[in-house]
Amino acid sequence: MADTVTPSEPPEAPTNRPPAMHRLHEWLSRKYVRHVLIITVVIGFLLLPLCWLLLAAMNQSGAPASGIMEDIEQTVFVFTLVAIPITAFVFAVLVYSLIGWKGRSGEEPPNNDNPAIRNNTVAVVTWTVVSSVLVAFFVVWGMLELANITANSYGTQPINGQIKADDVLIVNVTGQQWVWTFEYPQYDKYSSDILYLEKDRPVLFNVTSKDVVHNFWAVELGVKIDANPGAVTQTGVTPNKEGIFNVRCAELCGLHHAYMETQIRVFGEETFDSWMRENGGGKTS
Amino acid sequence: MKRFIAAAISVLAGVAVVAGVAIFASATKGSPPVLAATPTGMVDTPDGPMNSASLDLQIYPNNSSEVPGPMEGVNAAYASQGWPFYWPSTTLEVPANSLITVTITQYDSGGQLLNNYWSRVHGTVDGTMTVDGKTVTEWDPDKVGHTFTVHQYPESGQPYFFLSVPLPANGGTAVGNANPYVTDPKVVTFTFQTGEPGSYVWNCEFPCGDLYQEFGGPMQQRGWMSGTFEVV
Repeated sequence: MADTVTPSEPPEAPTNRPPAMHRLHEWLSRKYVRHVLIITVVIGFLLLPLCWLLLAAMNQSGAPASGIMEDIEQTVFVFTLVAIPITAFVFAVLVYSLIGWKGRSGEEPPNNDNPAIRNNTVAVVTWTVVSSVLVAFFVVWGMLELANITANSYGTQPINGQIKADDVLIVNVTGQQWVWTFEYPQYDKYSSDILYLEKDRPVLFNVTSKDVVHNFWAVELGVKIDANPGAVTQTGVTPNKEGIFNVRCAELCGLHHAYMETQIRVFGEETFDSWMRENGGGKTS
Repeated sequence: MKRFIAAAISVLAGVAVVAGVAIFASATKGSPPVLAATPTGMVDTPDGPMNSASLDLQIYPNNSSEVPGPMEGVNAAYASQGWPFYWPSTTLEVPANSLITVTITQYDSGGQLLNNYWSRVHGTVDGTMTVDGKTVTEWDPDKVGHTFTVHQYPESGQPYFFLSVPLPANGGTAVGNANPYVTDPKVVTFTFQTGEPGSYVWNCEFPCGDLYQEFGGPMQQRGWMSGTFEVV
């Protein structure tokens, strides 16, 4: 009987591959890597003030006057902050590619027979994971904020014809080239070219148009919805600040579209009621 | 050398396109001449003595040999369309902090308003106007010819200003594209008070134009049913 030989595990192949930390250190010590990282940091710090300028620009017409607008501004601010390092890195690579690897006078162009670019597993995994995490962050944040904004906007929407909250102020908004008009069915159908609202009182907007498509945009309240002829669209908001704000049309609607704006005046409860009474809008319900 | 010639031709072609657009825009531009309110002296008001001025306008259903209508810029091409128009100008100028009395002589027909808000008088002294000498605060929304509606300009730092009066329609078959015009036009007079200087626009809110919802044609071209309103 012949001797049986049990096959043993092949010996581990010898390798000269240095440890990961050593390779990372070696990579960071390369001149072009250091330069790109430095440029990234510099551009990042230059972009930071732009983030605040963006917020300032958004607030040119006044600070947010509702929870919805506060949520929108917060989202824009956070997304801009997250985008800064990515933007800075992309621009850093671009700048370094243009300057650092620029051909010098008298240099021969690269040989087309150079070795092919090989895959780099670490790089591929890194950018895939980082991109996925960022996209997941944007999606989750966006959906949560959208749900929050939708709840605040439509919390006043009638369900089966019933208004959810007893104290909801109903305003029928009509767009017509190139003026907005507002009717208050709860106040003797008082109507006005200025939108009067009450602080901390939910308001339901029934929005329509008499001619072409307009878009009812209550800027500081974070409300924007189409005004379509022959149809009523609904949205809502709860103003949380007294003051004078702006309504604009956000849909190109003809010759004087740019002039289709008016004011929102948000009063306290007593002032709102007395103002309505004095102007013929007695409360009917 | 070839590259230089190609680049030069490209640049010249770009300049020619831009210049062409600019020339076309300049040729088709053109606002009617400024119609300034005529000063009428000091008047007593509850707020004390105040300057006053008057402005006379007419509305015609179409142009004619007597009233040519807007002819500035591209409007000359539209002159034969039979569009209604304000006359003698839609570029209006009134003094600040004054009482302005406007008289509009309305020769055109009309119909039903799309929005009854425009059948009421807004922004005049006491919220009234006179029609052929009779004081009213509103007009039948089914018998309105045009409106004179001044509204806000998107410019912060100027006073809010809103004014709208309905202009009664002339009935019967004698109006519309009539020539000669009716002999008994509606005469509407109203007075309002101006504040600090500002730039505004005005337009008609009665659908008196062409095409979709009758909001085309003269409703979409300055010089006919809309214009500027400067408080200076």
